[in-house]
Amino acid sequence: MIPLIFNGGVYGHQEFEDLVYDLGGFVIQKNFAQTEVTIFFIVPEEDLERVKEKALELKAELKNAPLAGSEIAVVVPTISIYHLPHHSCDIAEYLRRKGAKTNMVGLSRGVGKRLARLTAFERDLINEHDVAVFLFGNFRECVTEKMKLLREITVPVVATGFPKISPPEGVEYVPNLGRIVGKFSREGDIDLLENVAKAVERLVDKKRRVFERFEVPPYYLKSEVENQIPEINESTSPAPITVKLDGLRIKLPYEKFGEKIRNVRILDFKLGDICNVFPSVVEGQTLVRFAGSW
Amino acid sequence: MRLVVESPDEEGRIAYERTINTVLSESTIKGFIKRLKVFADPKEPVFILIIQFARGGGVLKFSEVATLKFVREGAIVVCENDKFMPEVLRILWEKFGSEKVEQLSRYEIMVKGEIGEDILNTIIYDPEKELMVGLMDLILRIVPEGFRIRKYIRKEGLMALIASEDPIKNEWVEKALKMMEGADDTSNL
Repeated sequence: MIPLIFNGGVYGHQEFEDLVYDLGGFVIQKNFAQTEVTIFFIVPEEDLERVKEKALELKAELKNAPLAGSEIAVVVPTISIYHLPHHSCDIAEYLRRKGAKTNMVGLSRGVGKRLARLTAFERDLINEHDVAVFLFGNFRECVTEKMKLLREITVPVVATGFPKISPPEGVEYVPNLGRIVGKFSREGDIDLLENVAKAVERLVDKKRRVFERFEVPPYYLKSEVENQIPEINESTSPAPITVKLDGLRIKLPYEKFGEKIRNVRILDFKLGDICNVFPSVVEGQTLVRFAGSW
Repeated sequence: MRLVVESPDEEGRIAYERTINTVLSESTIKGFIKRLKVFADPKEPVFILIIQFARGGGVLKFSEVATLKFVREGAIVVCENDKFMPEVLRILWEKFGSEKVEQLSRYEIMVKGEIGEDILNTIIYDPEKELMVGLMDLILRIVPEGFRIRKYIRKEGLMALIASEDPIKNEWVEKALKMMEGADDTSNL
């Protein structure tokens, strides 16, 4: 299976979607922006030519999406208005163009050297994601000190900062990317973004390999939940069901729909048999995680 | 305008120079600043910012930015500088009401009424006022956000800011005062 992004007009995109399903692929996410539509999807490698033909016919653009099907937290010490535009915006957008679903997390007490800390809510929220990207600042002393924030994070972490330091075990560190005020406009800036994307890709690949042993992929769970719980279509969220590497995030309240989600039929068993279903720390959202994945 | 950044951390110094340069280039008050000196020591931790202001031009009055052409119904105000035009129009509206003021073209305003001394003496542009609005914004953008404890020292044509996350020590204030004295001397910068 190969993940791709379809970028084209709204006209005819339904035919394209049908083709993806006919070939045995899945649509991971679909976003409309006025007359444009972006579809993240996955198709078998041998049918790539047919998908390309159809895209050409619809005059759409196809791109590789190495991060498709992953949910990534971009964590910044602050998102105050005085520092706009933030470099986190550019990083999150770049990861999005690689197919990831990114969530920006601005810490409430993340600023300073000695003062920086994570609240319990922030820690739990970041731990719900597949990979967390922490963006630190310019000074060696501060970046080294702030690495203590990563101790409580149980998901793989990419950290960035300006100085070249040796990061703690298990952390991918991208140097030369400190606090940049304004847009990434210099020549070398795109390379920095690419470095971050590469680091995230490495971690996503590692995690993906762990979950390959589960025979039911998360995007299959997604299509079954969509078919069997019609209320999901009434959700106003841009991505009512987010595909993660280790399961799903469903934007429906657990109290009301928890049992319904557990009873979704997957092949000849129930979703509750192979997955843990539990409430997210974000109100009104439910998490589905493969049993035995943590 | 000159910028000097000092820090024991060489890498941090280079990165911070870029940050300040970007902030300054986007600031509305860069014309009012003559020199900017920064000392940052994350070990202490302390951040000192010294700003030396350039001598701004004086205030501009209505009569200096606009000329009058008298016609039968009143007068035509001609202001050939786009920067001051909105302010000129605002003052005329305030005095005569919008029904008696008509903008004929990009530079001309027709006024049905008599323009007296009081209008001619109104201040259109005050650099000091503009500086104060932009200065706080500039400082908040440059200073590290975590350094919430701040002390401002203002002298003739100079301003110093000491910021830290711990209570401000006397030695930092002394250092700032020393830097302020040095700021006047060109050889130190």
